Amino acid sequence: MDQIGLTDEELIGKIANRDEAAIELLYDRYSSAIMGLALKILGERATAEEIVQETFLRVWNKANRYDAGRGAALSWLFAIAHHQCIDRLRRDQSSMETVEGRKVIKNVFIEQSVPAAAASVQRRHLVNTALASLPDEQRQVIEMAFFGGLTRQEIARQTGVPLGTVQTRARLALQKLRARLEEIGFTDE
Amino acid sequence: MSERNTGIDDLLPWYILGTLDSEEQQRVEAYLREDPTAMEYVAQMRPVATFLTLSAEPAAVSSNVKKELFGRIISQPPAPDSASRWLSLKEKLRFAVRSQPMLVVLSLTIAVLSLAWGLVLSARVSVLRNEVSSLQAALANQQRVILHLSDPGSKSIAIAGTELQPEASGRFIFNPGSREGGVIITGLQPLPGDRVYQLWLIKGDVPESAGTFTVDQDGRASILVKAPASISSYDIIGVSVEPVGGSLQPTGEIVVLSPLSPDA
Repeated sequence: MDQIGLTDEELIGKIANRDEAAIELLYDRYSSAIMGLALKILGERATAEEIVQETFLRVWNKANRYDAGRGAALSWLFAIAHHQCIDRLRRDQSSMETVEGRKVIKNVFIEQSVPAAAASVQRRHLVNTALASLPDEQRQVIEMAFFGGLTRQEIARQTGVPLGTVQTRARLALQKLRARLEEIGFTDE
Repeated sequence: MSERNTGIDDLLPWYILGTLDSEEQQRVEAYLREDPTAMEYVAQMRPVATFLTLSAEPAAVSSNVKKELFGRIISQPPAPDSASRWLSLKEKLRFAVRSQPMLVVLSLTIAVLSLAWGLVLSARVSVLRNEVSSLQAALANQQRVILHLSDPGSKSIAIAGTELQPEASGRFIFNPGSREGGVIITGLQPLPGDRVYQLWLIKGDVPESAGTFTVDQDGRASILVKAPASISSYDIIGVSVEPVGGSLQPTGEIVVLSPLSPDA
């Protein structure tokens, strides 16, 4: 059967039943996006490729646990990938005595965030525009957390801002991004 | 959400951003199962994380990755149901026995000892529970006896041991119109484990059991007496030694015998 027209949710359902063609199709759809995320977070190609492989292996083994009531399949897939990245990042950093490593990560992501030249794809352009529209201090918190894997306490320490302020900035940034998503009609479904 | 569980609500944005540690993540997930408002917030915000993921520029993955991945996928067993999980466990165990027999023996020994210790503790808990229940019942009886002692309508008669246990003495406190009273007795000899004292209320020459009891090491007991009929209808109170569980009629030595004529 031709599976190309199947939704992500339908593919996950088939993967839960050990359909190899379905996992291959899902891989073809999203492996490059996950590779991009892993590269952005980890900055190292070989490690990023390990993340891609581990993510899809996890999808293969855990597809029967996917609950469509709790969110779109794409969110679930990306959450697995992101979780793998952050886990790997923290593991690697703890093995290199953390502090210096985290400083490097912070600099890399703050300085390289929202690349203006990366608007070749319409959706990505919209995403980056929305991110860029956030006040700098809110965008910084989101990027340090999401791409840098830093905890709220670490962000407070590194930016020299009180923890409560960091909390507020994260909450406001999420609200604004959510509102922006609605304006541009973005959906993960 | 500001008037709600602020501490854990503060974690929700970080849950969305995927930067909580595993302990915090478990706490949040437990909270989400209980709190629909928090769940709704997370459901609303989750697309933001997807959105952020898409901000990364896609990158090509080398073909080896796909090849290796599908090699691993094909080598994996079919979807594990409970039966195959059990089979898989058996296989793993077999492999472990072959590869590291001493470690397996040690692990199994520890597991068996832990299980045995668990059973011992469980049995001990059961014994303690029974003891607690017995003590609670005894305490309830004592409280009833005290109530009879403090009832201004109660009468009290002296009771005395027979020539078999002349040191025994006590008092029977009861309200003549009721079927319940209290006996406080001292000086009875402690009995072997297969024997108990049995209290009798005797009408004419017909004894009726009013319960069994034991005494402490000083020969004391406090017994709640429950009579089949109004206590004033009986003539005599007596105590005999009987097998555990009591008898239908007195069969052993009569150690207490006193008429039920109030002396106070």
